Amino acid sequence: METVDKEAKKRRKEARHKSKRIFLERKSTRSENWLGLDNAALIYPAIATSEWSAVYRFSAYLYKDVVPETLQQALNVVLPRFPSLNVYIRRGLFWFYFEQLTHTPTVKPETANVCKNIAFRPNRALFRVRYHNNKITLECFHALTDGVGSSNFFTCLIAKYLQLTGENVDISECPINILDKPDAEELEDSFERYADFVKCNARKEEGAYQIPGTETERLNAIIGVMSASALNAVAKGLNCTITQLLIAAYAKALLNYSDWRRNRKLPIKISVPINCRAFLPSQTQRNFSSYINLIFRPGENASTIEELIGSIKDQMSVINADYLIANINSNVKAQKNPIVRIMPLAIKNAILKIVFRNFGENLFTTAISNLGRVKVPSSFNGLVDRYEAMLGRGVKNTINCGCVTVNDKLSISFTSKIGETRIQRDFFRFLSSLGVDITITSNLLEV
Amino acid sequence: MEHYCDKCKVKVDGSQVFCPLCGRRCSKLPIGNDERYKIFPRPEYKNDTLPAVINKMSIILLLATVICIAVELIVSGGFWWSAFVLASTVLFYCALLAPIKHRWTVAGSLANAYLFVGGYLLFLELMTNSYGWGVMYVIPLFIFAMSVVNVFIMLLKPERKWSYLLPLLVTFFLALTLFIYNWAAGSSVLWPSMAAFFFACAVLIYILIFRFRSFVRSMKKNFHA
Repeated sequence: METVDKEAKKRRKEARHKSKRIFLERKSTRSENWLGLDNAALIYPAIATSEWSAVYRFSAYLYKDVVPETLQQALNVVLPRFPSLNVYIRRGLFWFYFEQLTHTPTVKPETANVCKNIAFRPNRALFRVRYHNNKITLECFHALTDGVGSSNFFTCLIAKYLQLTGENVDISECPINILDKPDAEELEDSFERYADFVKCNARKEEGAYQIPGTETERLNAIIGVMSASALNAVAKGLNCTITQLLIAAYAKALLNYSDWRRNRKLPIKISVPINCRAFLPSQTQRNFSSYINLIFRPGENASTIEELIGSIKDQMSVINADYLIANINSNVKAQKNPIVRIMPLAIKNAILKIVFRNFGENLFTTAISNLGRVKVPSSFNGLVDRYEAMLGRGVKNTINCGCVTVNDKLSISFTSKIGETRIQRDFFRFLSSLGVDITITSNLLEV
Repeated sequence: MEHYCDKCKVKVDGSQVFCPLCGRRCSKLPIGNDERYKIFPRPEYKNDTLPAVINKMSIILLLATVICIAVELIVSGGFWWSAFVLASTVLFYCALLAPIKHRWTVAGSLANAYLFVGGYLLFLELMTNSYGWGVMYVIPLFIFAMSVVNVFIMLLKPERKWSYLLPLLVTFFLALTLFIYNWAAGSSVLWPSMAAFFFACAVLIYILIFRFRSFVRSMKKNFHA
């Protein structure tokens, strides 16, 4: 056991040294106003289409209507603090790269089409800031940053906006202090820092069941808002965390789905993103997340919630620093392959598209991403009602789920490209049966 | 204001008339269109008509070309005039319609247009047997014009000069190829291709020598592996 600890310590020490070296290398890059994509970001621009936008969305509901001019002022102040977001994407000969924007994007009124794709144009930002009545929305291309990075930016933006409207908000309580200068470590590719190539996780995985349905032109969103403390009490009663309870409820709804019950050839697999910063210390504001695919088969997982929670706990128990490093290793190893490196971008894109279509989304049925309790200034309590997090459209995965908690309000947003709402209905009905008060809203058209 | 869905046992936001989960009507209020209380704005279906228009134009072009080929084959049993129509169609689509449809950058569109127009001029030269007028005068003049356009654009947009490196390189390589071809073929008039080549060289050398650091930076960005 001690030997394993020593090895792990040695590996961390090596990672720290490597990180310093990467900082020095990156220093010259930063002065040139361009940035290479991090390891997780490489795939997104290659495969992003109007069908698969790789865009996710955060919304904040305030108690007062939004003043667009003030929101624009806030964006002008906050954006330079986040150099990793203040960029647009360009094509190099071998890889895409980011170049610094020369202007701040304009805030615009929201449209009902959520998570619409963002086109790659010269000097055009890869995120949108929108407003509608009392709601401020950020839609972000995943190549820029993950949920944690963008929620930090979003919170800073809201805090600055509220401060400019005359509210008493302490900016220093934000996850990132916008008065500070951007730290070099916030721009690092932490995947590269932690990759030691000692052990790689196997890539070969069984395919997953895909939910069929009638495709709609727009992405349909159904959002359920509930008290986080009430759900936490229920979770404690079941001896699990909120995330585990939500995954179990989702799995239960999927296992009861009639089409799957008829056609049980492939298992149901739920992809759960993991914030690597929780296990591997990093200040990066770029992508630094991994995932685990939880498998549910009819025989193995009985349909009672307790048994499902037990199965989820078992499957999630493998998540630790070593598991994540092994995951990172297999991805970074592919990126560092000399053949891949010298392959022209157009060929790489074509290969990545084929690989993603056949081995990417095929490996999981749906994704559920719980950002947990987002750190916001204490003064948000009387100014911001709640946050919302939505995942974008998938090519094969028809439904995805995003959850976020602010001010004790947990918001669970299902985004789906099919008209059928059976799974969402079963999910919320189940949570309601546990005694949780839920308020539902949606962007579905009323006819 | 919130409604309640008895079936799903959930509250439904006041902006909704029907329960989004089961579709049951849970409000007795008439279906309102008051945007003030809507959580999501009304959907806008802004269809991008440009790709559709270009697709239609491409189909018309293709049909016209096919008809020309068919008529000539039937009437004279040959392929002489139809070849010009086919080449013009390819040029029109690849050099103009495709870059507009896919919204290429100006630099990319220019480089692409140079290649296709150069190829088209060469095709005309080969097909019409113009006693070398094409390769001796017309194509060098075209390359000269390309260099002038490159310089003009770089002067107009100095902040994005490096975006135009690709058309500059295309111009240089076309000029070089033409100069070598004329020289090797022993053309009687060598000065137009030589002038076009030296002008393209001069622009590239200016960029490489006087803007060397910026050039290296641009190379690093574009060629980082």
